[in-house]
Amino acid sequence: MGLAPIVALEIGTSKVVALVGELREDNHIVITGMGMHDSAGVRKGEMVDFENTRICVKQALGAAEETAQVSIHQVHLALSGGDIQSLVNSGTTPISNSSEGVTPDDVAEVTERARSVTLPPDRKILHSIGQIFYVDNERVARPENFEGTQLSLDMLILHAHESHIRNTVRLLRELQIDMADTAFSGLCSALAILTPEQKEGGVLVIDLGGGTTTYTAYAAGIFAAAGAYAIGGDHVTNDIALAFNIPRSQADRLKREMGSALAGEANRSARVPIPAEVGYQGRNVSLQGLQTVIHLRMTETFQLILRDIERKGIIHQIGAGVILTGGGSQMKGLVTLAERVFRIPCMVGRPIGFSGLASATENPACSSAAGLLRYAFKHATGGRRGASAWSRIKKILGAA
Amino acid sequence: MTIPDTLIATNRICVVGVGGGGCQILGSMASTWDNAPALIAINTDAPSLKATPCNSRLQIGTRITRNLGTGGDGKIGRLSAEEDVDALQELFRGLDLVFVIATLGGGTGSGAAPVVARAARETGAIVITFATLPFTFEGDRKMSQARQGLVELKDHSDVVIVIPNQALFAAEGTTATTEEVFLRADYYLSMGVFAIWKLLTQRNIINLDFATLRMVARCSDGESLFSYGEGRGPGRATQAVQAALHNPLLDNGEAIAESESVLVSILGDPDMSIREVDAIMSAIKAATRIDAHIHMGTAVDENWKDTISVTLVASRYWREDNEVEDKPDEKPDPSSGPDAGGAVAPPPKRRKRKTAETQPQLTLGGLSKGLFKDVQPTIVDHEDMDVPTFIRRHVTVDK
Repeated sequence: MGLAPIVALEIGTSKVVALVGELREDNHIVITGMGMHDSAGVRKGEMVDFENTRICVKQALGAAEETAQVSIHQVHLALSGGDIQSLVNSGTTPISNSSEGVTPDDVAEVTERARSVTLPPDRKILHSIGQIFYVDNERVARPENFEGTQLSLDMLILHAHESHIRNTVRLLRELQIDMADTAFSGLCSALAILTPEQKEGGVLVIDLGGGTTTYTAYAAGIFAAAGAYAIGGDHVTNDIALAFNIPRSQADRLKREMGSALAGEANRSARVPIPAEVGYQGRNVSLQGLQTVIHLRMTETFQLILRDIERKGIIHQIGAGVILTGGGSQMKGLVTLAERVFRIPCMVGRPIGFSGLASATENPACSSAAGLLRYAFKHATGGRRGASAWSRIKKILGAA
Repeated sequence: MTIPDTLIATNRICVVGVGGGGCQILGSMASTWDNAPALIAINTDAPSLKATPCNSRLQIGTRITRNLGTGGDGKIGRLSAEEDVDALQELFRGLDLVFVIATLGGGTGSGAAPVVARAARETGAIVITFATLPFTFEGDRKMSQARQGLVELKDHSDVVIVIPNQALFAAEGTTATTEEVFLRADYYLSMGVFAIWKLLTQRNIINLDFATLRMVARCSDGESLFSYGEGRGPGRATQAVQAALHNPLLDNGEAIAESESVLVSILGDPDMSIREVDAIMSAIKAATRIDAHIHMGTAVDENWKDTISVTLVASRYWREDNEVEDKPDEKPDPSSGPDAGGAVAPPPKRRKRKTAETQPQLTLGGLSKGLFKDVQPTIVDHEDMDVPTFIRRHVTVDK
C-alpha cells in the first residue's frame, strides 16, 4: 500500500458524484467511499448558482467521507462543459545528434513544441496527449534510438474555458479543499470502461450526461479525437415538457419510465397517464408522441457527433464499435438508435477493473468519476518514479 | 362598376420556368393552355432556351457560363442569376403574382431559382414556387444540391410547393418508364398552376380571392405539399377528391391528416353542381384535422366536359397573422446587384421574410426554451439547440 486514497469529484448537471478509491495490485481500483447528491445550480455543465452548488458538493463529499471513513482535503476534478474542444497540433525538431539517434532530450523538445499552440486568451489547455511520433516522416511508436535528422509529434490538445475552471476552484476553496488536478470527463469515462483491445480496434465512447454529451474516439490504440456538446438529458426532459405542456418533474418521470429513443414502435392509440399534482390537473398523453420527441432529439445528438467524427476522418477506423455510458445511456432503445445512426455495433459500457461499492461500480452514471480515479493514480505512480525526462513524457502520453 | 380587386387580371400574373426542367414543364403548359398568362423561360443554356415554346425568354449568365450552361453546378447557376438580377427585376415589375417552376438538382434549377424568386419578391409580387425534387437514383450529390436549393427557395418565396419525384415513382409501380413518371410530374405541376390561376382570374361560384391567397401565403409556414385528382362521368366528384386525397404526393393521405392549413381548388365543367362541391368538401373535412384552416374556391372552365378536378395545397403549419406590417427598415438584399438600391423604386408592399434567423423568434419567443431561457444558448451551425428538435424540424407530435 504505497499510495494514499484519491478522491474524484464530478459536479454534473444532474448529479454531484464523489468517489474515494484505493489502488491495489495490477492497477485494480477499490472504491471505498461514495457520495452522490442531486445537483442544483448547474445548467448544461456550467455553474449558474454558486451557493446551491456549494451545498450539493458539500453533501456529496460529506457522504463520501462517511462511507470511506476518511477526511477529504484534496480532490481531482472531472470537467464536462460543452465548451471543451479538441485539436491536433504537430511539433517538429531537428534530431540533435543524427548518429546517436533520438535522445530523451529530443523527445522532450518535440513534445514541448507540439504542446505550444496559440489559443484564444480565455481558453486553457486541459490535456495534451501525444498521438504519433515521426522520424523523418516515418511513423514510429517509440522514437528513442531511431536514427534520422528530424523528429515530429502529433499531439491532441483539449482545451476549455478558463472561467469555468476558475469558478469551481473558488467553490472548492470555500469548502477548504484543494484541487489536485483536472481532467476531461469524456476521457475519464473512456479510461473507466475501455479494454486495450477496444482501443486498438478503434472505438467511440459517448457519455450522455444531464447537461452535456461528451465523446472520445480511439483509433489504432491512439487517442484520436474528443469533444463535447452542451446538449444532454435535460434537453430531452425540456422537450417533453414543452411538447405536452406538463411540469418538468412529470416530464422527467415520463422520460425515465416510458421513454424510448425509437419512434413508431408504440401503438398509435396508446396513452400514458400523468397523475395530478399540486397546481396541476392530471391528464394523459400519446405514447407515440412522447417517443417521437425523444427520438428526434437523440438522433440529432448522435448525428452531431457522427458529423464531427466524419470530418476528422476517423469514422472508418472505429472497428470495435460505439460504447454509450453516462446516466442518459439507460434510455430504452438508445443502443438500437445509435446502431442505426453510426452503422456500427453499439453497447452500453460500465466501469471495468473496479471493485468495492457496487452502487458505484455497476452504475454507468459513475463511469467518469471512476475513470478519473484511474487517471489520477496513473499520474501519481508516474510521479513517484522520479522526474526523468522519460517519465515526464510518459505522464503526458500515459493519459491515453 | 369596376371589377372588384378580389380578382386579378391575367396580365398581372406570370409563370416562369427556371432551368432545363422548369422550361420543359413551361413548354408543355404553353402547348395545352389557352389564353395563358405570360410564360417566361429562364435558362443559362441557349439552345434549350430557344427550343422552349413560350412568350418570352431570358438567357442569364452569358458572361459567367460563356453560353455553355452550368455543368450541373448550383453555384454557377446562382452567380448567373445574380449577374442578370436587374433584367429579372425589370421582367417582374408591376406583377402581382409570379409562379416560379424549377426542377431542383441541376445547376440552374437549384442555383438560379432562389435568386429569381427573390427578384420577383423584391418588386412586390407574391411568389409561389413549384419545385420538384430529384429521384433517388439520380444520386446523393443532386439530392443534396436540391435540398440546398429548396432551403433558399423557402427564404425567398411566399409558398413553396414541393413535388418529390420519388414518391410518384413509387406509386407508378415497377412497369412505368422514367419518361412516364416525368410526364406525370409535369402534368400534375401544370394542372396545379392552372387551377390556382383559374381561381384568381375568373369570376367564380365561390371565389378564392387574392387577399385570401396572400393570407394563406403569409400564415402557412415552411414547405407545402401539393396534390391533384380528376374525375369523369357519374361519381366524378368523389372520384376526383379521393384521387387527390390518396395521391402519392401526399404520402397517400398521411400528410393531409397532419396539415394545419389546406387550400382547396375545385375546377369543373359548367354543369358542376353545388351538391358536388359539398361532397368534395365533406370528404376533405373528414380527412383533415378538426382545427385545420381550410380555404376553398371553385372555378368553371367552359371548355371542359363532364370533368371535375380537385387541387390541394397542404401546409404543415399555420401561424396566426399577428404581424401585419413588417419593419420598415428591411432592405433589399445588398447582393442583388450594384444598382438595385438606387434605380429601383421601393417595393409597394412589404411582407415577412421567412429567413432562418427571424423565424424561431417570431413564432416562439422565449417560451420555446423552457429550462434554458436564462442560460447561454447552445448554438451549433446557427441553430439554437435549446429549442426542442421537434419544433426546429417542424414535426407534428401526437399530443
